[in-house]
Amino acid sequence: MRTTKHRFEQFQFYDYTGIKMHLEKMALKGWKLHKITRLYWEYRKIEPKKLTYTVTYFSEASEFNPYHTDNQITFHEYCKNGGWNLVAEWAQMQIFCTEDEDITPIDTEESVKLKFIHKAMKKNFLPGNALLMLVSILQFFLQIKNIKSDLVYQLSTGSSLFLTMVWFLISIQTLYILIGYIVWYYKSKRSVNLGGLCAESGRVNKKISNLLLVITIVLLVLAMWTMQNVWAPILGIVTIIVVMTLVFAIKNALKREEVSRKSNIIITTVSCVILMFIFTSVLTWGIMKGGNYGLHSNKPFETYTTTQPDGSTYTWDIYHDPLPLKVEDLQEVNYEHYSYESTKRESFLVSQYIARQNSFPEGQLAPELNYAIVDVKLPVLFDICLKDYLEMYNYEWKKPDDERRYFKLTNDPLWHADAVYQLYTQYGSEGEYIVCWKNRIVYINYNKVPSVEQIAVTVKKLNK
Amino acid sequence: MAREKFHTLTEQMFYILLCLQSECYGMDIMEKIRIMTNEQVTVGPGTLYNLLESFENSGMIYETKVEGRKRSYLITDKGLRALEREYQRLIKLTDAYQQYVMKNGGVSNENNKA
Repeated sequence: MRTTKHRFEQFQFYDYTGIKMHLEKMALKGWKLHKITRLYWEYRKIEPKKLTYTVTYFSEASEFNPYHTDNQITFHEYCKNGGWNLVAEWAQMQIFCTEDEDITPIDTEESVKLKFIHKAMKKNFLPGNALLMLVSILQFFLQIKNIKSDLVYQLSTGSSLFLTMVWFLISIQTLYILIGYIVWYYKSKRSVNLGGLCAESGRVNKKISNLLLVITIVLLVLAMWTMQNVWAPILGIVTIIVVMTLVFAIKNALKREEVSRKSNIIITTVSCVILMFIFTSVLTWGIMKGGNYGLHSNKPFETYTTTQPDGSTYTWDIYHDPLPLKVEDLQEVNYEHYSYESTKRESFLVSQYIARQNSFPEGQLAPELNYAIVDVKLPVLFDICLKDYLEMYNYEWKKPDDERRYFKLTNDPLWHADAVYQLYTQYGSEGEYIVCWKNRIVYINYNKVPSVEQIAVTVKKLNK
Repeated sequence: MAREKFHTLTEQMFYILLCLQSECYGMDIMEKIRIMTNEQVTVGPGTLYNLLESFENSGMIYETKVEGRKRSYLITDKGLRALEREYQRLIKLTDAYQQYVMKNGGVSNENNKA
């Protein structure tokens, strides 16, 4: 028969009512709380019985203390003298229980209870969450700025969306925790000033926390589902878990060695920074090394060496990716060393397929072709993706008006499209187009204005 | 202007200070109050510990000796003044109540009607 049980418990740190109710229910089912760790709560099997729990907070307590402080021991003795036994601790949180049903509660004066809870919360719960919230909001806005700078690329890159989502969810979680506590504190203060009790911080709180957790998991799975390199975020998550485990191990080892609280905090924080640096460097090195060995791509390639008139040589990578539209489909060519290269990125919002057919400089100049096919899965994003392509030459804003390149709406019926834009310069139209078919945006560069037949072939090959 | 700390005392604060007019171990105060008030007032161990810490920080009591983990306390002049002020406040309340009852000839108008 199982005598120990480990559970992941989703409680807010200040939710003493919710924790008390939960532990009393667990005791009725025959499980008594034994230990609280960062990852799980440990319960031990007992005869099912009615136990009364009290969750209180002691501001001097700390996860980094090698042992209980004198004041904490005195506090525990006061409680023991009052019939309450210490069961478990979690930073400043102290959990007591008793079998005596007519016992005097540990906290008998609400104003004093509220004051000391708030004092304990100010120690690390509030500053810790506030710092995490600020960092995550800053990271979220940096990610948004990054996305805006290269919209279609970033929207179709799962890792970028994944990171944005992670920081957004952390911001929401910490914001919810902080606002939840502040609302609870002021509600309790108002009630206590009028002679009432502290506000309850129970069931709704836990339900919202669980809902946020489920939304977080669903969104992260969704973001990872459509990523090309799913292993990248998984490696990232594994790295964080390994670093956190090592940091906790260091902290606990220092506690066992009876290192002072202050030294423990400094050494643990420095170790955390160093370990993060080492693991991130190893991860980056691994990704780059993997890239060199072709681990991130299934494209076999060969090389081709060209010789310049001065005798110098250049070596080029030649790809043979299958492309939906090739120069050969549009015209007759007599060139053997084309490189056909394609890249596909896809997220649950946008997919972007980029194709490039390149020749190499050696005597004759063979015609080239490059295009991008963007499928927008969320209709609301269509216009901003289109705008991203239409404004691709906006970086020329410093040039005089008549020297700038720009896309002009032509809606040429040859394309059988919802919208057609063509590139113009002061000298007239160029061979670059942006074409919209339903939720698809195609950007194509023929390098010269195409013929009617070439447009017809393109429509046949690139329109879904 | 910020309100003075412990300007008015709650029942539990009052009894703790009252007990400390003679030197007493912190832990014994709970039992002393229970007996003193015939179990009408009980102070929880957490509340007692926190109030003793607050009183000591405010200079209303001071630690007289430490024996192992047991600490004993005694009230200071400041604590005595707070106790006296609270006593006077309670007398004023009692006087006001008595005058009202005498004037209206009973416990309250509602009770008179009953």
